[in-house]
Amino acid sequence: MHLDIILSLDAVADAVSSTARPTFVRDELENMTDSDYESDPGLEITDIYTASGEIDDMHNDSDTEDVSHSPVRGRPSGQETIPSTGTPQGEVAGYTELNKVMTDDPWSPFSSEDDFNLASWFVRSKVAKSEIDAYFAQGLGSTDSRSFRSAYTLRQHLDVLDPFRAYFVWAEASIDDGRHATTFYYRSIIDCVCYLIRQVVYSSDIVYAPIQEYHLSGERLYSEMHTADWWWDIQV
Amino acid sequence: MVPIIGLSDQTDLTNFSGDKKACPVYMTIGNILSWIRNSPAKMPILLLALLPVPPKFTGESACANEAQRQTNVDTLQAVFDLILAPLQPVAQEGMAMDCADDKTRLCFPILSAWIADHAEHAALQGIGSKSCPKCEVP
Repeated sequence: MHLDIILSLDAVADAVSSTARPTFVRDELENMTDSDYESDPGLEITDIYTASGEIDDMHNDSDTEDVSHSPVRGRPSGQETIPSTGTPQGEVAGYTELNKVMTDDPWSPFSSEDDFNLASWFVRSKVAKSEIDAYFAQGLGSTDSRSFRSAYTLRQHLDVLDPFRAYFVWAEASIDDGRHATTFYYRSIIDCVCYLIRQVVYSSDIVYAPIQEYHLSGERLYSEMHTADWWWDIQV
Repeated sequence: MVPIIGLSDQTDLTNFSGDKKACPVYMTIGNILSWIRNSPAKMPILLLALLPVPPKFTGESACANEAQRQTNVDTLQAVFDLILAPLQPVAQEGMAMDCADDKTRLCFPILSAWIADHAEHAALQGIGSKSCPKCEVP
């Protein structure tokens, strides 16, 4: 718990020190995290969360081998890696275009910051669909500049924001044991892996290669999965 | 390399007569550092499948009926065959995946760990409930 607090302070300090980073995005991200912690993992939250991460990552040149966020109390004095593991093959196609759109119009598909904040509030406070519709029907907010006027159009905007929706297709299969056919649902495990490893929110906390960490006294340090032997032995 | 960590447990949905049970299977990957991976707020654990709970055919419980028990075990194995089948060629040959830092890497997803309680391990591996899933004690 204590470590977590220190680490989140580190993260905030990083955010402040980075000049190019839009500060509002960090705020949004923090808020999302807080609100979501109390609640069930809802799809709506995921959408905004992912989108914020996308914007957040635009100016973030992350180093793949960077372990500065690792919650190790005694920092390792030295480490070894297997050369050429975890080396990237190339850039992700279409990513710069995506970023360009985001930089040009950070609030897309919403029309303004105000618009986005309202949508964000709707989602985070879990306003019911009927209440959202009632909000517009009763004319509580000015609808002139709104890019969405109902729960349905809001939903459509959120769908646009989530580029990973395709990974979450449920497959249906049925197993027949001779007497009964039982239906069950599953997801493609490869797609799930793709989704997790692509998730920009985790970009500073993903490792791609095993390392061996050593203390000043020469003792081996074990902290995370990638610092232990199993990964090292398996990696060819 | 992408180590996959699987999780599963049987859980009760209702506590009334005619209890409903669900067997969710979750997965996550070992590349994410553990303080992120274990944080529910970051949602790094995905629901992979909902296992079918085989209906009872006879009045007897599954423990008493040998054929029923065998059917249940076979069903479970077949389901896991289906879920994990796409992993096999990819784990051997590798697959170029887009990574979080906007680079593409050749990834080898390997099922590396399975987090479950003893009853679940025993069911998954088809051993007696009093056997050890790790060593050779019968």
